Amino acid sequence: MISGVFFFNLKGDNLICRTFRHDLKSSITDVIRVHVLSNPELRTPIATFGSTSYTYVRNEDLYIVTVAKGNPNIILLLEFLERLVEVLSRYFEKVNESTIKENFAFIYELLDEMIDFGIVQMTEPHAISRALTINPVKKKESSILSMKRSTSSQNVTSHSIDHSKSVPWRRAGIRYRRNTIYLDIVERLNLLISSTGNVLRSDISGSVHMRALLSGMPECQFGISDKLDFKLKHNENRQKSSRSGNDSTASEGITLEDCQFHQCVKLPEFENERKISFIPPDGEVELMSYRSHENVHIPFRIHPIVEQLSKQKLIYRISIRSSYPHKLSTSLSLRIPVPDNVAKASPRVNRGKSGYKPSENIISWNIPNYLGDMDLILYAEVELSNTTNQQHWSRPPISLDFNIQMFASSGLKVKYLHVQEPSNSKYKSIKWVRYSTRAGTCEIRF
Amino acid sequence: MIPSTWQVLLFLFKRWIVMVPKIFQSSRQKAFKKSETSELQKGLVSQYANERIDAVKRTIAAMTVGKDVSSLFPDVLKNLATRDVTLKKLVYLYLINYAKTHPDLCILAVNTFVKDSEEYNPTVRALAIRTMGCIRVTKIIDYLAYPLRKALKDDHPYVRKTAAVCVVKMFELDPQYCSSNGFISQLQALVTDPNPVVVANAVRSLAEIHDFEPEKGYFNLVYTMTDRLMVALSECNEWGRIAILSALSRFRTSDVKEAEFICERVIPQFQHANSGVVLAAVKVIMTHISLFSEDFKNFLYKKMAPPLLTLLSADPEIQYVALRNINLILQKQPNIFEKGTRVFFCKYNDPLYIKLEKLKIITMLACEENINETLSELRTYVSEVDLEFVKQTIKSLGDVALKVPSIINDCIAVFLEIFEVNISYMVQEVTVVMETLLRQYPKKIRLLLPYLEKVLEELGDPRARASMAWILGEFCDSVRDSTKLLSEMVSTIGQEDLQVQLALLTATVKLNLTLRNGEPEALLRKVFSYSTNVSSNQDLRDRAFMYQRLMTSENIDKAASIVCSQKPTVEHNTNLPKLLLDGLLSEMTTLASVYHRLPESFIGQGKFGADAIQQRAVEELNVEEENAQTSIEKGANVENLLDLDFGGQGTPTSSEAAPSPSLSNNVLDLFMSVDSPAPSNQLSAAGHTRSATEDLLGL
Repeated sequence: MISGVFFFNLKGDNLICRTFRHDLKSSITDVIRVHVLSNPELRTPIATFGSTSYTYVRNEDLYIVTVAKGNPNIILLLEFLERLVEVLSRYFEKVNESTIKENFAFIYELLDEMIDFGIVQMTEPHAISRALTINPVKKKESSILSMKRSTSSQNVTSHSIDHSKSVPWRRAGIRYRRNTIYLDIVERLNLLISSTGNVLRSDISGSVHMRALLSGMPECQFGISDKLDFKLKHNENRQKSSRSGNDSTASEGITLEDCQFHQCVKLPEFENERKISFIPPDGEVELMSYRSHENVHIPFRIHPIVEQLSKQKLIYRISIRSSYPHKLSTSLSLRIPVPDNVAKASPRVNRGKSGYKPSENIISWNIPNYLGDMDLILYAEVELSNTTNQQHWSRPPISLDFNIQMFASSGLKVKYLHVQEPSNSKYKSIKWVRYSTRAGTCEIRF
Repeated sequence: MIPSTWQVLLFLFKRWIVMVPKIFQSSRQKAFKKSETSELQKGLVSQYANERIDAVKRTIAAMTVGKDVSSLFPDVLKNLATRDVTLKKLVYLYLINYAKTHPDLCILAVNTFVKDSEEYNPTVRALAIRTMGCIRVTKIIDYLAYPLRKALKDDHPYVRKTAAVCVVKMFELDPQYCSSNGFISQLQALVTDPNPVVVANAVRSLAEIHDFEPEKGYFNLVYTMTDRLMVALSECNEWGRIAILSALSRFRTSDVKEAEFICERVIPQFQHANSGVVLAAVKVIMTHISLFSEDFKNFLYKKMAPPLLTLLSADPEIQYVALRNINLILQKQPNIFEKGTRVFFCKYNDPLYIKLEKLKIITMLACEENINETLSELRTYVSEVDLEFVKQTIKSLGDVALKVPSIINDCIAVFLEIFEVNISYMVQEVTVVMETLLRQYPKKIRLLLPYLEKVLEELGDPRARASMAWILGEFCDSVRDSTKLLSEMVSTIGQEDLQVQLALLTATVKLNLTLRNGEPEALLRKVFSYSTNVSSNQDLRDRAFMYQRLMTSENIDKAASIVCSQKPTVEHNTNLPKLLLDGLLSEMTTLASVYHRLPESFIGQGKFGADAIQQRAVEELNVEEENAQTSIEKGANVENLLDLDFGGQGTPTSSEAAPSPSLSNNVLDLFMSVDSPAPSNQLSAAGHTRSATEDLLGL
């Protein structure tokens, strides 16, 4: 399994070197620097030389590399690297060279808790935070972890007790004055529209973020307007009362292509009864993620017309119509690519701000407070300069960025959210649910 | 010469990069004066706990940047006897780091370890066991044995799970001792432990020990054990789940009931957020799937399709591994994704390695139903910037046209557009693809006629020139200027690559046999005289002699019927050989599944059984993947050159340059009437050629 984990900066200086096995030579950092990180021929994040494989990810000005011998489980390595960055970012505002340098001891301890002899043990931030004893420097002030840390570090003896229990992600004896649970449903819309206006792809990758500030060991259950769930219930109802089915309820639900849950969710229960029940970890987690591609409500309709009038002149005419409810407002920004050899570009718009950015070869268009049901248009004449090499312009797609609050593109709704504590029948909790739709990769070809 | 200077500079630069940190390090070491050491020393023996912690921290920081702080060893060690877990952990960290270089000093700490392993606090007990295992001195085994045996039976699961890992550490030090003193059987007992985390660690450790010495059979999963594993599976954390699932995929059974039981219990894991868990679950199912009835198979495939697609919304690195694995599954079950290809369409900002993988999958999925959207998608890719990607796209277009004959006209239309735009690397790639397409659809040559002359000017790449020569020779009667164009090419025959020369030879022979108006005879003489007198290449000479003999024979018609015979259709098959595919499917999630090569072929850790060698032979047939792997092999070569040995006895991977397809095709044209069917791969093509050559020479 993992023979070692290494941190490098962009120059290739080794920052952290933690070997777990003894099968690596001391020249390993040089090998990584020369053959992996500064190897222009290497195109994939995976490299193999001899019997040693290197896997790396980049984060800010850091390379994080794992080294393994033989035929390792590569997806595990990559997933671990991703988790490592995630855990670090729970502690630090920025995971970069300077934070790493100031926290050598902390990171060594962290790595030792995560990996034993090259075998990944745990990456659950909450569980790890209880096992750690060194306080990180430059930590996030708002981090829920640091809050908990100060209370739990006194009773270090108890931390491992719950580590290996059947609920490894939650510590016993958590107490809050007011029990609150927040659900934040964030949908990312991925859109690919062909130059002829066909929607090639429109899908949602959504996630349900949960922030649970609950006392004790609460058991939660929550339900969404999932079509399968509806059918199941529907059938049950039919069998029970033998009344003729009311088809409108069945069509209300949305079809989830696939969903994925945090490890606290009891998967067999979901598989059999479509019930999402769990004992939440304390603090923030991504509880669930899902994909949906049926009946996706696309919030904008965009028609780009780009005409090449002559070798020196291009005309852009881009019209947008927002198709979400009138009372919602959003901020939308578009990046419209132009060729490299632009001499002059003067876009005109009837709302928002637009301008040509020569450094990025785009025309940007920002529209704050874009209300629903509104037509907007951008018109731009672009003059091109004569260049000697008439290079082929690949026409990169127009990309969108937006964030619409209280709007779920997939139509997903939280139906219920129950919180119960088995030992306390008078358990009260306040629940908050919020929706938003953001741009994932929205590309419009022209 | 400019390139060589540049290479030297590059080499020096690389050396420099290696040296720089060392230079700094040594100067840093000098700067790290005694005063600092003594200051640290003072801190380490301070009477205040927080000062001591601070000093140890600074010592570790110094250690990390490469300063030698081993002189502080005794002072650091004094702090081991503390009750403060923070300090203890820090000291252990220091110890582990010097365990490698100063093993003897570490023995000094042994007594504290043994004492710690009796401590009331389970964290301290586990910590002692964990650290002790990291000290790599054989002597430590004597001290380790007793505490470890106790820890394996500890009341606290945290200690047990740490001890489970420690058994592997011990095994690595001394396998003999470890197995003969019952540690392995104790570990085997932990598989049925009530705590899921312990089970997971025990399974992982056993699997690893098993792989050290597979013949001893330390880890043979029996069906009765799976029940316990299943319970642990749904209770433990994600990494434990991966371990258990990997163990389950080692389990082999011929009993359908057992396999069904396992697969059904594994299905819920598809919904896990960790992509490692998802792929490991898929792997379990794929290892058993051949046992099931069609219905259950389809059910399983239907269940696994959505989670596999979900992996595509992960980070690019994970996407890449997922795509390589999906590629394998698709070869096993081509219709697993009913919903079509759209999910695999490339995003503009995808890294190149993702785009190339997606392109492969789009090509694999192309069929009558989705051909229109596939074609229009591929068409947009043609106008992208990246050279490599565009080239692959053009190749894919060709593959798609072979697979789905109905779109050949649209496909050729795209190619003609490329000819219009006339960018040389694209034109060259199209020419190569055209050769294959024209073999399959010879009638389409008339669409191409207006462009040939213009295209010829753009061709620099030998592959493309060889293809062009083939096209001109094959269709010399439909191309009006074929004689003129060929003679243009022949005029520079001395500077051409071998493959072009061979193609030109065949083309001029065809030209003479087809037209027979005496006009191109001078051309033929020129080629013959070059090939037989000037060229030093055996292949070219022999082939020229052969043709010469053939042409001078009485019956020129017979020669024509041999050379210009009907060609068999091109078989489109980019799939891996079945044996290799099955081998790779059982290697899913691992590096082997990314490279699409069996582990023996790239890690070379000895142990070449008869099976392995046979599988290697199969693997060598796989030409498609050979190309994809050149980068890795190059890397391996670099390693050899710089003589950087890092422990592995890596056997150099075979990297024979595959002969170009067009070349063997040309040769084969010759012998089609003599020797029958179309070879599906080049290795057998070479074989055919040889035997057929002998036949002909005997004529």
